[in-house]
Amino acid sequence: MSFEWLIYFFSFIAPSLASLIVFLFGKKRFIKELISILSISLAIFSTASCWNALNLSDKKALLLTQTFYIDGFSIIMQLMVEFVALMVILYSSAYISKAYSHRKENFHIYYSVILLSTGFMNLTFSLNNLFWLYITLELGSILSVYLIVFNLNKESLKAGFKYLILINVGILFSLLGIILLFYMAGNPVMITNIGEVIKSLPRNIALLSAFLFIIGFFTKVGLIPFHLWLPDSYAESPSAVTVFLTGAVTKLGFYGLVRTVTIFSFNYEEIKILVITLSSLSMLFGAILAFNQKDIKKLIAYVSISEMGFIASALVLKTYEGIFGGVFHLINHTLMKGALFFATGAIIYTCGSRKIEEIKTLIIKMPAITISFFIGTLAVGGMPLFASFLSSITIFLALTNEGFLLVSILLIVSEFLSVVILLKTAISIFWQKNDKSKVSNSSVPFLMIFCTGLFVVLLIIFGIYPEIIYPIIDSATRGIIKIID
Amino acid sequence: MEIIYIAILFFTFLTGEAKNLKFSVLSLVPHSLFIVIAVFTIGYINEISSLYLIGILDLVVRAILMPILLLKCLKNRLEIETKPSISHPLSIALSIVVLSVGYHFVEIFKSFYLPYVISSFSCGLTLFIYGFCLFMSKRDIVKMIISFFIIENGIHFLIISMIPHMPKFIEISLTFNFIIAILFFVYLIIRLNEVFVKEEIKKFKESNSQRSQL
Repeated sequence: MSFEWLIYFFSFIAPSLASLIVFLFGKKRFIKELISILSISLAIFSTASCWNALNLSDKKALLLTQTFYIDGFSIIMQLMVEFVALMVILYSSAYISKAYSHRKENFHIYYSVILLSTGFMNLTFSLNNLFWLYITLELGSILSVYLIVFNLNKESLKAGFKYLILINVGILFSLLGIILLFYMAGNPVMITNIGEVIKSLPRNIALLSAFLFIIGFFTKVGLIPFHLWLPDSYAESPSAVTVFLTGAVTKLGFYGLVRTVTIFSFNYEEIKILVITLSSLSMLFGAILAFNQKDIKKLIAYVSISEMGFIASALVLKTYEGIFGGVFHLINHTLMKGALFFATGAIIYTCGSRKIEEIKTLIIKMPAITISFFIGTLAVGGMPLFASFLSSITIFLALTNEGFLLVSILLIVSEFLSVVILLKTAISIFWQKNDKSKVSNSSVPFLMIFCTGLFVVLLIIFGIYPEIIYPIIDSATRGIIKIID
Repeated sequence: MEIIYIAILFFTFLTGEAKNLKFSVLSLVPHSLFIVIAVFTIGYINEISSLYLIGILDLVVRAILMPILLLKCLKNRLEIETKPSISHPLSIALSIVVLSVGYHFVEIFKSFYLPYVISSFSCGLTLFIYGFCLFMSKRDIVKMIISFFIIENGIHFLIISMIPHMPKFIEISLTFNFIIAILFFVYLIIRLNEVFVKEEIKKFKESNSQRSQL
């Protein structure tokens, strides 16, 4: 093993080691924040080195002893998870000390779990063997339970239980799919050889296997009809954790989906149609169900389900544009939901409630948070100037070119519905004549405003200068297509 | 071998259908012990020495650790399960159908289409299907964990039947994952029970103070 690979391994070694240090010595003031930020920065450096090496090499992927496999898609996922983890840590340092002061003694465990979970996720994105991928993916998911139930009240415990049982049972279906592939192939199934294995499978077995993967990873992502865990978990967890769930944990499901179901869909038209049908259900019903919500976090959670439907439908299209749009929207989804949930966290921080009706009466004027929430909302609607406009339009065109005109219309309709409900809520909360309200940015800590603002700024930058992010999305798309070829 | 599988399915039935949760959890002990016996027997018949290690691991985790942890979950709560989504007689009838007819159907399927697969396949697939049915029909959180345990045992048998020579490290890691998941389940249930008890005490105090005021 070369020294270069050791540097690449820092993407998962650094957060895991830091997790242990924070767990043991993190009770002292600032140690947990400092070590967490340092380790995530090291992980980002490691991933950036990996990206550099990938660019310099002629190949589209880096492979080490059949165990580790890193391509453009792995790198984009690692960077996304690391960025989200960094933001969540920065935001949490200001947020949880007040909102969750009754759990003061366990703050170091909270940070430790975020770091360990990040480590496992980064390891998942670097592994080649599907069995290993399953093991780390499950561990990364299970650990998040501690974060969901951090408040330790009845509702959060129930939400945590729902998450744990549904994710565990759901993901076992994908394990069954891996076993089936392993049995039929007669040797370990890797990301590097899954394309060949799928081509050699009898049709019925291939369809059965793909179906099992769909159940497993759709549950992990939280798409309808496997979404039951998602709204409660998002609503009951601390807002910083909600961003971690939506920006990192559910992305693990998409990673599994791309590495398995996308390849099946390239070979079997039925799988593509099934995934696009289920995704359409998520798009439409996610947006419709959002209308019925009285809890602001649940409302955004349903809008999130709707958007994840766009991503899933794009990732099974047999074209470069489709996958490119899917990967781009994956990033935008993280940014949009990051901005919205962080802004919501600031609202809850000042009002102490998630209920829209209660927020209306308790809200104080917070210009920065208000602007961020509105920008997040407009980005969800795929408005021009925002990165989501480019990704939505790419998915729309790719779906239309592949003959799924109805689905592309559904995409526009659900985007419209999502933006209507979010705007309606935002206007009712922020745009009211309340004489008691005072302009008060100081009540929201600077770090919370900074993290929310950064997501918003990135949404605008990637919307105006998409060429900044295009090379890495292109590399990810080519990485996915390479496996299929 | 057939007798061992039938014994596993019988104790699975008791575990799944017993209304008393303590009895249900205790039935997991013979269920898991027979799984351990099956793993050792498969290892012996097919001369796969790595299965002995897996058998020992199963004995510790599935037959000893799991029931102890689940019994801990029953502290501070009623031992009768929460009413399931389907009636009990219907649930029993469905269980008998899945466990007996299902098992034989899978056995016939296996002998026709997968003759080279090790015998635990039929039992594994039946456990998986039954566990999933149980999971869909139960509302009690302990019963849901038991269903998860049954599904996991089914997967475990399927792995053994289809990939008997699977690298030991992967098998051990899968078991480790399973233990972590169960530990989290137990943590959540114990915390939930505590919250419920606190609520009950609060209600009791409130009703007492109301009475005294009257």
